[in-house]
Amino acid sequence: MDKNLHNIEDLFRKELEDNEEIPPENTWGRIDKILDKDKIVSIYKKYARLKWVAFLLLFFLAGMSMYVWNYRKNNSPEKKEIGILKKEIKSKNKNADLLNGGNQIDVKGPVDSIKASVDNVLKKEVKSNNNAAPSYEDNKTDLKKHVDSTNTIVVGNNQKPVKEIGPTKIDKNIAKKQPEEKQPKLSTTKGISNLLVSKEERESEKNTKPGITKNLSNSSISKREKEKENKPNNEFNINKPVHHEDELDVAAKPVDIDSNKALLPLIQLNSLPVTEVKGITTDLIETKRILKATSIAEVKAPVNKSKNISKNKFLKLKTLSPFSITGFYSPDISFFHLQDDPSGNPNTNGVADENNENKTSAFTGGALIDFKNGPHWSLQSGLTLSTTRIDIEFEDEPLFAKADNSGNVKYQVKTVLGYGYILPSFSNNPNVGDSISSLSTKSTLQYLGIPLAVKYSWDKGKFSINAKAGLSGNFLTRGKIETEVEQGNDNETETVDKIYGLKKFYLSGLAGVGLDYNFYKNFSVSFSPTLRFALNPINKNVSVISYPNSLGFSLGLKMKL
Amino acid sequence: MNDTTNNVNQIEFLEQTKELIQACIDGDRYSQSRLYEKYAPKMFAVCMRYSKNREEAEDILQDGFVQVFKSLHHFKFAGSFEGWIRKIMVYTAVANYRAKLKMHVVMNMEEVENIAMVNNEDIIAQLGKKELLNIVQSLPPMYRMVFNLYVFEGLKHREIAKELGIAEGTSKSNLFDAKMILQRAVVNSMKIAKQNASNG
Repeated sequence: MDKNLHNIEDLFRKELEDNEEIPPENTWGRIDKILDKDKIVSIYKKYARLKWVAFLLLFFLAGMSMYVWNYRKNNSPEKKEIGILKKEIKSKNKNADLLNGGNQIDVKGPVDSIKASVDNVLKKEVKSNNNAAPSYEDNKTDLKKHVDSTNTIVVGNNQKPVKEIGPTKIDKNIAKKQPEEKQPKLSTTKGISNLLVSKEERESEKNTKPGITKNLSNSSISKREKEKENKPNNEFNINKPVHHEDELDVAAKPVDIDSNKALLPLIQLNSLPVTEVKGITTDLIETKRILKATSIAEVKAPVNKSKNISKNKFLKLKTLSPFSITGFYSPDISFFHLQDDPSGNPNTNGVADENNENKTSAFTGGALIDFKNGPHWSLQSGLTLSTTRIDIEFEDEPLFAKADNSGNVKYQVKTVLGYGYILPSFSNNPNVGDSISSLSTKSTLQYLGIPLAVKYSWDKGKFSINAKAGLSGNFLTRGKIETEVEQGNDNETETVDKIYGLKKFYLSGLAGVGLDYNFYKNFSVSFSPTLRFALNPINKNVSVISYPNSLGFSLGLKMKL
Repeated sequence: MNDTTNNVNQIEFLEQTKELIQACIDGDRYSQSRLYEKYAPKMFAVCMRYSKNREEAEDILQDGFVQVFKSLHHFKFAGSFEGWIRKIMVYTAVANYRAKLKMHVVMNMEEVENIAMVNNEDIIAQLGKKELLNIVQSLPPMYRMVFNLYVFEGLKHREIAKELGIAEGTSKSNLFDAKMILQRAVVNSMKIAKQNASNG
């Protein structure tokens, strides 16, 4: 043997190859703890990933919905029409502007001659537009009278000092002269009130030296623009989107360039870059404003008449996004389908005795997003949170002590869902086989569901009937057993937060019908009875496997995005 | 007839093992405990051979089983499941050895001989598995690793060298030295056992 080393190898291989040694009892407990720790870490990582996925999905959906909404809005027929009309108006204005000498206003020569030409234009314009309306001369006279009496505004050659006056005052005075009949072209009470500029502004204009180049800065223009925006008047703003059909009619009306050739550039006076105005005086500026107001009133008057009609039409024409969101709450009738599993771990859970009082309550809430994919078909998904509670009352149910998976001896609580262990304070060191009495158990399950369903709907006026079918992935978020154990005259309630045998995920099918009632614009109320049925059991490796089913009557509020 | 019965039993056993493994992959703790109970004794014996004492073997067993449960989804259901677990245990032991490599003291043969002689004083009269295991455990760590990998796992010196991060020649010389130590230890133990028997 001393000289034969191969015998040594054979000896040890033969003796130790299939050797067995019993490891210490606490080794599994240590492994169990490590696995628990690893599981927590992995669950945290898993949910962190899920959170990111959910966030990205939400971001993507929001982006998609905004894109689709904007695309439809911008490509709607009325929007296109508005664009075409805007172009037409611009081109016509440009033509008229060119006839009048371009954008730059270069006023040379005597101021009186300019004023006279402006007056002529006004006269011509007012006469051609509305014979029934009071003439410009009338209005001008009224205005002159009023201005002279109040010494506030100067038109023409009047060079009296300017004093500010409230718009209401002028409105009233002028309104007296306005006939009761329709005055679409020169109902300029509000328009004329726009002419009133602040004292400071006029003074600043006055301070500019006459006869030299005057720059109307953009700031002063923008100031007036702001003032206009703040006033609730009906000024025609060419840059504003036009939504009213009547406005479109007015705007689309062929413009008589001959009659408006001097007028149209003045309409745009505030918006045009006036770089050089020589020899212009305050009076001339005021006159221009009057002209502007007149022309605005001319354009704007019909809008007032049909404001409501066009608004309604616009609402009707407004296109909607294919997405809609429904928040719902559903009280459910829950029932379990139970099945024996011979391959499962025996005596780990059990069915409640028929003599025991058994109550089940459940409800589901959440938000569902519909994506309409055609006149009838739509896809539905979202998030749901369902809670099921099973209350069982016993007369005297024994709970036996046995070693749990960590090797610690505790009392085992068995339910149809799974099993858990408790250690009541009055019996915290039991031996295997010891028992205590339980009076009731309350099992609570909470699942986070992600449904995906196909929906078919018929619209009947304000009602919409729909039918849907689909699947839902359900993630266990909470599993709890509360049991009341008997201790002499006092009872103690013990809670089991870890239910063994319960799966983290199960798949369920769903089918239902629904009725929506559109009660206000994009809002509807919906009622939808839905059947949810488990496609695979919620527990495993137990003696009885459970399939939870429920019939829910969901009531929700739906909003079309 | 017996062959048929054996085959049916073997298929049932394999099916049960497969279900058990699948349940363990799903994270079912009860199934994991059953799997542990089933294979722990054999694996603990393996760990004992690779360690100098019981405590170290427990650590290897614990780390090995945690690794088994983490890696179960990699098991292809081809080949022996026990062999797969055993391989994980061996690699866990090797990793444990390599982690403690700096702590190991280099010994010369004279010291080894003395240690073997001292340890063998406790060996009972008849040499059994326990005594042989003690002799293996008494080997210096490097010798123990090489001896175990060569004799029990059937690895070649090239593979052993790669696993332990040593030269192939070192592996060969270590194996030779290990066998010499074991031989002397066994002889010594036999002498002591005979003396005890004659005295008794």
